Amino acid sequence: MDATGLSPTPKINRWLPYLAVFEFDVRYTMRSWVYRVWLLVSFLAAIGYLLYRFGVYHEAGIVQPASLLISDLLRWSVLGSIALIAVLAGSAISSERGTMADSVLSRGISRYQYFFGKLHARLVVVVGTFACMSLITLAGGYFLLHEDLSFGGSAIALLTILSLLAAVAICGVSFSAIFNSNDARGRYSVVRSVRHRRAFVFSPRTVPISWPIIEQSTADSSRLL
Amino acid sequence: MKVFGKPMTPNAADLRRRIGYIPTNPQFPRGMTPITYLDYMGRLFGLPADVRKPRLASLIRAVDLLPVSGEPIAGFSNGMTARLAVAASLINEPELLIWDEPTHGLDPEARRSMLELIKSLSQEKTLILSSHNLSDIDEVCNHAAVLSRGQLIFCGSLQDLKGRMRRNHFELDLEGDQKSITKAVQAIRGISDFRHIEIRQRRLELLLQDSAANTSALANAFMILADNKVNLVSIRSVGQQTEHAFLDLVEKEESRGFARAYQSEAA
Repeated sequence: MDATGLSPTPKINRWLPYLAVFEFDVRYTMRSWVYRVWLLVSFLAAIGYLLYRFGVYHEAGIVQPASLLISDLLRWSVLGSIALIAVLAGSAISSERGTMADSVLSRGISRYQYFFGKLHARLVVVVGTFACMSLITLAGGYFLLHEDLSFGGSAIALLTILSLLAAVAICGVSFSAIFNSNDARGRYSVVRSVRHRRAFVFSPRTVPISWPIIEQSTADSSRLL
Repeated sequence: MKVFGKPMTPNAADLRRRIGYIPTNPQFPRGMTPITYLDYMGRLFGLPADVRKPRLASLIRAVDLLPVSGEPIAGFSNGMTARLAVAASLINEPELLIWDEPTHGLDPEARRSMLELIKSLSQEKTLILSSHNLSDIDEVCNHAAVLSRGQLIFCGSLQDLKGRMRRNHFELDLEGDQKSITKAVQAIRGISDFRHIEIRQRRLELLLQDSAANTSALANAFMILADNKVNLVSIRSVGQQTEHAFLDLVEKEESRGFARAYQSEAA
């Protein structure tokens, strides 16, 4: 039978494969245990930190400015989240290679659409979730704590932190596309380098002083706020 | 590699839209139902909703998954997941189907229905099956390609493949007096062309030497049977023909490979 003589499938929406991967991955990521652990740990850590600070105020009578409190909370949230975000982004493609990826990539989707669908989904989940958590914290701080938080400063601090997290997510998904799923050592080294803040975008030794690095930007956040 | 006359590259989505593929062990996302999975597959092919939904509904009915169409795939049996994989491979109405081990892990009933489906689809589409189960190939294919250690060692019609088989094992159903049959068999045992001769009631099994010409050896045997007034009811070549032909091919290729390796080492 000569297959070339038959007509191809009509009416193709070329953006639909990208949207399908994007929507599926957003739902899949939000149902993953890593994401849920990240949310739970962040929430519990925030509550614990605020209780501790409240205890300091209650017992010792030390009053701290809201900018300092929120800055510390954001800094520790970022540092505590990075490893989980690296795992979340690093497992985007490599974990599916040889299994689900085969089922998806054998359909009418290009490698670019698949990669960008995954990348944008993980970015939206990571950045969106952290933005929501931070906005709740900032709004709470603005209304409940002392009034030394500025709107502009808060926005700049938040954008800086979100851009750093976006960089982590982009690096993670890109590494995930490069490394094999069995290359656990490669993935571990990514997580470890991020965890120890030795990845090039975060290291004050390897990047120009003008670049936003995690230690500098989180340390400066109280001034910004 | 070219498909439909065009090079197949990792980004050749247009070409893959014309192909329906089933991997060996199809994986399904957790928590999905047949409806959501097929809808997802349809979207991956870029099919808009007005095309996707009716196709999805008719495929679910065609593969007999309608009663479980809203249930999670995680609880499906091998036969049900195989049928779902078939539906997913047909959602884009492909011109070419590539199915890897479609009967792998299926019970006899599911395997039978899969083979019938392959036969009916082959009336209108080109199917490429990869299988280690040669009886399936024998039943549904008309062309075969044999790979051994990554090398293509045969490509042609199934008849050609069977034609390459060494025909050296025959069964003859005989009719006549038992004493005459025994006497004839004794005489046939004297022919050196036969490696093994066995008589079970009135069925004579003859296994020829590899070097023997089967026509002359059988002619001698027929002469002896005729001399002893034994009639021949039927004669047939024994064994699973495609399987024998496949094993013959691989065996020859391996012996050639060994000979080449031996020669290169000796040189």
